[in-house]
Amino acid sequence: MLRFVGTRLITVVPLLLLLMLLVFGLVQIAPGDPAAIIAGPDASAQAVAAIRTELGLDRPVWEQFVSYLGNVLHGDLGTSYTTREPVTEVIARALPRTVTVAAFAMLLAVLVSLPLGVLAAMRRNGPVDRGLTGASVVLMAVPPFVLAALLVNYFALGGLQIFPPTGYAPLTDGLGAWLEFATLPAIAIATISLAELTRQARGSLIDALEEDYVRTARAKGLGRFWTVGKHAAKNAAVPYVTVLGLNVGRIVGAAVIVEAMFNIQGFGQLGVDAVLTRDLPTMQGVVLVSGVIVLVVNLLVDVSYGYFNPKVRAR
Amino acid sequence: MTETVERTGASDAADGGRAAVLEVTGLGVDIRTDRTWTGIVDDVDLVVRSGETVGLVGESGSGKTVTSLAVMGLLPPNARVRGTVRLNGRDLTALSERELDRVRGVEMGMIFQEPRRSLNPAFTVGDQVAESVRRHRGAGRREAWERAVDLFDLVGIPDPRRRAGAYPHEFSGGMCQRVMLAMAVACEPSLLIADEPTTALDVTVQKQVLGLIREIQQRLGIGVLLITHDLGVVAEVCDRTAVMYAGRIVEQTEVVELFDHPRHPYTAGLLAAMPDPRRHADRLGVIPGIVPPPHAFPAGCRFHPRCDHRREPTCTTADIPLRDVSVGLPHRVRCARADEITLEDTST
Repeated sequence: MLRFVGTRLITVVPLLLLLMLLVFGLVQIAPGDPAAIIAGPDASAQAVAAIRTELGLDRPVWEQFVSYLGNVLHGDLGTSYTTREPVTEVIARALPRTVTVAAFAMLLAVLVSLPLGVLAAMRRNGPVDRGLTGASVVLMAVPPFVLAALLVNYFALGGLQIFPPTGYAPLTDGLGAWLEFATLPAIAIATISLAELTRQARGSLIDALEEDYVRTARAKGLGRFWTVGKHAAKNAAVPYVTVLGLNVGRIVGAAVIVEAMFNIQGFGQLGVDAVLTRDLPTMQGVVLVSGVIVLVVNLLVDVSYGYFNPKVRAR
Repeated sequence: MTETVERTGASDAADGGRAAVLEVTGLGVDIRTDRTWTGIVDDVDLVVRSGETVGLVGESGSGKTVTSLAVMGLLPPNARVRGTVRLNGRDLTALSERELDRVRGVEMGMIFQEPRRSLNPAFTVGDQVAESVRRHRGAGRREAWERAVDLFDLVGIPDPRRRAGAYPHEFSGGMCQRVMLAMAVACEPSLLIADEPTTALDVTVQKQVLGLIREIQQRLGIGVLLITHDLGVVAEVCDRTAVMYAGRIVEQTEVVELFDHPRHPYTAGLLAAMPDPRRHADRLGVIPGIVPPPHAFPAGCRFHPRCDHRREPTCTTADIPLRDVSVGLPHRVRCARADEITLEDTST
């Protein structure tokens, strides 16, 4: 297993390089001259040229890439054009907000989809299963921002005023305070994946239950709990975890919109603001970190295959 | 054993001084499709005594696998069982699913046709065998693992301690069947059901596995119900056999008697279809037609549309009972004309 994890880790290195190349290329293909943007509309040609030299934009592209690479590896993502703050610091402030809320959303989606999926699979084609299928279709059709608005309306403004409508408290302020602000956004974000994950849990468990080894487990007199919870579940986990991994991207996407609605000032917001203000270094930083997150999630999914399916490990 | 045995006609429940392990009486299985029940097996009587091997033979679709699953209580939820299945005197059809879980894997074990697919790819083979011991015997992790290693040794897996930690995909089909066998006998059951245990294996491996089943059976003194379509397998390992056709037993007797004096035209057809090295391949007997599907079982004798000896209306109207035609060895047949026809020895 350790060797398997090791080889998986090594395959990530070229992907990481490719990612950095793409992020670096972003500046090259972005319209407009970064130096001119920083200098402002009234600057003289000389001032623009000075800024260009300062940023190293007059050097050959490959030299720029190498120095960018060096900087990134040292944790230096450049300086924001708009706030003049180091991008690393800006991201370090915004990212934990999004990651904690998204992780909470993910946890909710898993905690709800697993029991529902198992229930639907055990009562296949029964009223519970059909009801859940119907509810899934409806949920899939509701965009997260609509749900966010409804949630705020019922649980923050009108009716029950349990949660604050907007704002955010970091985890360092205590779990209670964080939950108060994070719950509604997390629910709004979780629903986007909930339906698909429930369907997947149901489908892969049904497939697993039809396998011969389940009959063997029953012939051994293991009873329903161990047959489903051990023998079918471990095999059904592979497709479920795959879909879960794919949903990380979707959850981050939903977070961008939902964050804006709840005024969380998170990572998605940061990216949107950077695009609007043409703050290239921040944009690069956001794209790079998002890319790394996707790589890490895929790595985790890959490693989990090794745990769930020993055949993968052997290769 | 010193018990006195009373021989009563067709009932051979306690024949040969050995206790009957399995007694199936009037077993029927119906499957519900689109709100109608279709009978796929009916009127099956079987007895398996400890230390003996009983063959259940038939073509695909004859209902032999369904019969074995009915005994194990492993039929799908849309199936309905009639009759009684007694294991060591207790009627299994009266037990709840929870109670059955204390019988399956303890008093009876089963091995299947596809040994590789029957093992869970996600767990080590040792874990899958040890699990049974832990669940039923309440053994601890280490103790159960030791038992699994011993069992692997018993079923002839080389280097059992190391191999117990391997996964099914690291084993050949024959080795997987040995693992299955170890699992099935882990709690020393009194009955082993083997459903086509060698069909998916290479011919050379088939012999080994059959030999192993025989060996284990003799060592543990268990009764074996062997389901197969291969009369060659029956000849090799069975003591008695029942031939099934279209959901019913058509002939039931000792193996020697079955091969020497088949009384049902279907059995005779099966025997003629067996490859024989002394006979040329194009003289291989073929029974024309196919086994009818359950919803199209014909009235009267279910074999009559394919039978050379059929006579209307004797064979085509009323159900034919399984009756005793014993001459010396116990022999029962479901043929209305068994006394009128002579089934030629096709091997000459």
